[in-house]
Amino acid sequence: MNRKVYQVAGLVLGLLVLGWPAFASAESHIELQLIKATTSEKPSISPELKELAKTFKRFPGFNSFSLAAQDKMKLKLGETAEMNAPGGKKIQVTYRGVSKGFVKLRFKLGELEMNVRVHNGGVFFHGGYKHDGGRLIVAVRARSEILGKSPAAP
Amino acid sequence: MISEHKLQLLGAYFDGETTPEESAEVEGWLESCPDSRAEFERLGNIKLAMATRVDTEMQQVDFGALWKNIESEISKEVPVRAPVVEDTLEESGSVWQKIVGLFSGQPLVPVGAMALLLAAVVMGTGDELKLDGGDANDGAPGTELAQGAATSEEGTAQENGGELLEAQSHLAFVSGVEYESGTVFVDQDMDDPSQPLIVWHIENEGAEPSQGG
Repeated sequence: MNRKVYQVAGLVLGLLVLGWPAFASAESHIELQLIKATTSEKPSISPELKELAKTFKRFPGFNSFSLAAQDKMKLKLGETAEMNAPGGKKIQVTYRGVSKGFVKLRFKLGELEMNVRVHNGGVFFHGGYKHDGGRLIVAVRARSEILGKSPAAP
Repeated sequence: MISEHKLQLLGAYFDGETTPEESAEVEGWLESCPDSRAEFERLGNIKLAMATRVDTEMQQVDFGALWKNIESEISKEVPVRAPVVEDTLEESGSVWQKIVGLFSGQPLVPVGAMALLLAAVVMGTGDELKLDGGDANDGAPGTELAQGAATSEEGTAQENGGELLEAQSHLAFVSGVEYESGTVFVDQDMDDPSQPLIVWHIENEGAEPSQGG
């Protein structure tokens, strides 16, 4: 009986020792795109943003979307990446792990902070603050290595 | 101690959802049962507290500026289309435009639009509004809200720039929202749940995102 318990405990310990480094080192791939939405006489969408064009229908009043900046980063669990946004604001994204096929992030822009769980490889948007005659939209795409590849992954 | 049956019926009565027979039964309890009366009063207090909160929130919203934006949306005769990328900027399916579209041409536009807007907007207060079964770990101090949308996990095919790409799920949930000022609301296109979530944070500028300036 005791022997069996030790065997099981040893197996569990072994799995933990072998498996934990792989889990701990699993990174998430984050892609941030800063998009400037404006209204102009000649509507346009930057070629880099063509994939997101369908979503732009949901930003009423704007007909021109241009890529102001973008960054790709790899984050380990608990790590935070930072990106400067126009107007002296900062965007911070913290990788908080994975759960049931979702990538968990803490997103901060200016005075707004929130937790977001996004489907692996999925994208979410933050829209809001005024910039240079338009509004700035932030597109955040996240994919975690531990959840595997995703069709739309960056 | 009040029974489950009584609790349910009292709640239904309070919301005006009881049949005449049930109403008569409840009214009988209210006359004869102190516990039922206490429960009924408690329901009343909850409703009063909610009404007070809504009133407070409404006072903080610059409806004048919001309505100005609604009017400008309504007055647009032709939706903007992009010649550069065909069929990308056609009629919008956003919550905001649906609010506008729903009431255009109706005599009670301001009131109706405001009421719907209030439902769509999540104000910066401390109460929790959870619309999904998000992770318990996701909670954080401060205002919490969550929004989700059903979406296809299997993935279908959609045309994009001449190539067929497997549709990607953009299902997302938001919680632990903290902000000091302004208004936050979550926009999910209910007609197309595979569309990504948009979290709007409109700072105290007295304007709605529907205008570009």
